[in-house]
Amino acid sequence: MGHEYKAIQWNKNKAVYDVYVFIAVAIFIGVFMAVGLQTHPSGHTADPVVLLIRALGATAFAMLTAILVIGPLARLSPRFLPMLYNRRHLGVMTFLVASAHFGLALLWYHSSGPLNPFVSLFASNPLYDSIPGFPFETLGFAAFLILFLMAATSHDFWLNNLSAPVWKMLHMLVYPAYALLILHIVLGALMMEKSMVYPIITGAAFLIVSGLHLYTGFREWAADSGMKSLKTKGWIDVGAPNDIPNMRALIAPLPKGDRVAIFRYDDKISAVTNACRHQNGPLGEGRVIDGCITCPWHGWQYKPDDGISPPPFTEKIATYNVRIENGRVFVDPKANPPGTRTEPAIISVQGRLPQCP
Amino acid sequence: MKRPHRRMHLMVWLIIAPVTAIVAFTFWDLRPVTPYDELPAAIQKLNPGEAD
Amino acid sequence: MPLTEGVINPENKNPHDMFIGWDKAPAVDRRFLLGALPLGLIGAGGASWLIANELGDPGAGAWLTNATHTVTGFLATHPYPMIRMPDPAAPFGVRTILIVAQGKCTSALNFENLLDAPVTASGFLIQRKGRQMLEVPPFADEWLIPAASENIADNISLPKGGTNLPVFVTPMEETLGTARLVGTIMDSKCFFGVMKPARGKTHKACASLCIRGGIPPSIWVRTKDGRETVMLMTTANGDPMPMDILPLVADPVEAEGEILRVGDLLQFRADADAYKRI
Repeated sequence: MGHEYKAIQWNKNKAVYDVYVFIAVAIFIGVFMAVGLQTHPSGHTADPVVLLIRALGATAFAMLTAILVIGPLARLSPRFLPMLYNRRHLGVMTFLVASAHFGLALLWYHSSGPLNPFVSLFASNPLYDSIPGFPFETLGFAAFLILFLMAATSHDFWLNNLSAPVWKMLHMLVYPAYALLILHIVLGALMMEKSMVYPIITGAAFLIVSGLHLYTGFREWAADSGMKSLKTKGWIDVGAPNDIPNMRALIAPLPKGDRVAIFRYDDKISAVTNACRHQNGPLGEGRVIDGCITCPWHGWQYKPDDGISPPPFTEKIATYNVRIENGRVFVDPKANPPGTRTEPAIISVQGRLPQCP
Repeated sequence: MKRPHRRMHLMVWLIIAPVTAIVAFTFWDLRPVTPYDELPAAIQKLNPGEAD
Repeated sequence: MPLTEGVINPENKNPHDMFIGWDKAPAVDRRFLLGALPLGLIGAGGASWLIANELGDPGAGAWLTNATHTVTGFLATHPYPMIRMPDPAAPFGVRTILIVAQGKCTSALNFENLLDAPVTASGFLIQRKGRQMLEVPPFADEWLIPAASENIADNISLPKGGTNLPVFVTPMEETLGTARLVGTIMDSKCFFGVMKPARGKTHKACASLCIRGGIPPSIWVRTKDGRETVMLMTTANGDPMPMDILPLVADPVEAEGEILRVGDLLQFRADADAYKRI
């Protein structure tokens, strides 16, 4: 809702979220250092700096794993929506932890030597033609660059100025970044650590993340294909007006893969695209609050009849024409340009019209 | 430019998941073993060796 | 007529109030979070404990940066900087302490004109299982001063007169024959205690950078039953190892070479091309 940009838009939920993540990170690193320093007999104590490098790396990996499971989990249950809401801050904090891991490794392993540390990062291990010997540092660095790019463009300012499609594409790079990180771990720590705990944890994390994405992805795909059998060119019969829960929506997949959300608010029915202008959140899973369609992801709002955010905001989404015929709600599969006012279909002439503030 | 569709997330994971899983496992399977050896006979009497 | 087939009713999935970021969280979400968030913290601590607890033993070795260590002996720089001193308690009556600079650039050390001369040197002691190393500042006047050779004898309570001293200037070498070894090339500084662990893939780049900077490479041979030997690596002629060895650092290698005892240290002499990765 970008009428003005602030560095961070705070509210109580975000503050609680950030404090919680901070505590979780502190616990992870604190436990790691405490256990790592006393797990071996005296005289065999690990170097605290090396241990901290590992603690930071493990923390960043755990955080990125958490970030990547929140999305599909929120698609499976709305109980995870509060974790999705401020995921961006979690992402920026992951970048900060990854920066500390990278900076400390660069300082400890690559500095005060005969080469520039950045040259050493790429040259000290020259086995680019070997699999087990491959310089795993370069894979971590590539993942780090992606995290940097994402953190640097994480603000809604960039979302608007890069345009949403470019921004979404850019931020899908987090998937290859996660794959790079897996290989960074496999070709690094897993090449030397003997305990089976490491391959098991790394493998489990990857299976959970990729499994959840594939499972929810196939579910969505199946939902999109649900109406394929209609092969409809004309208006789509969605159901009876009372099939739509009041202040909520039904979602109808359209033949071209888009989805339309058909909202009922008291005696009126309006249809808008299911994709929120902000981050493609599923508007049809939201509800009408204060007369406005409210996205379940970040609470962005739109007036149902014209798809325009209430003042002072100016975001626009596509609307769809609806009509009621013979006790059925029909929606035109052809989208109107964003912000086009459409006449709501009226179920009954009685009832108060809801007002947007 | 169109927004990446939901289906594109699925497509990306359909590529990333098997490729990463296979590559990671194959690489891990190639990890080097600890190079154990016997101490050279020449130094046995000088250096009986120490427990690590 | 029922709902058209394919139409999704999200209320089936989420019949409750909806969480909106800028509003107060609904009771159902608060209840869920009250259970889930503590579980998340326990999970974070548990995962961290598991990962940290399974780390491999980083091995012996110490880097004593709390106190300055001072030694007096004879300075040599070939094949690598070291100070040798008489020590009746040491094997063969000689104790050698390798000299490395702070950081990773030992080849930049300046010894002025004190080669083969008696000196007193101060720095941080690095030691692993009786093998010693002194980490010194980059400029000679910060750590190296000439010593009278009598002082060396004084320090170790040998008879004055210096009759034993030349043996340390050119220590007795003993050839122990050739051997084919399987082991790992280590950078001696990190290995002796500066970094723990100083082995394996994650330390390879650092070890390679250290050896590039003039820190002496060692070959570390381990037996299955936990015995080991560490030998200073030189070329077949006894010169410092060339940079050709760098790609092989930290990997399992095999090499055939000659073993020598020089003072109390073992040397493994083989040219870089004698080493093969296995």
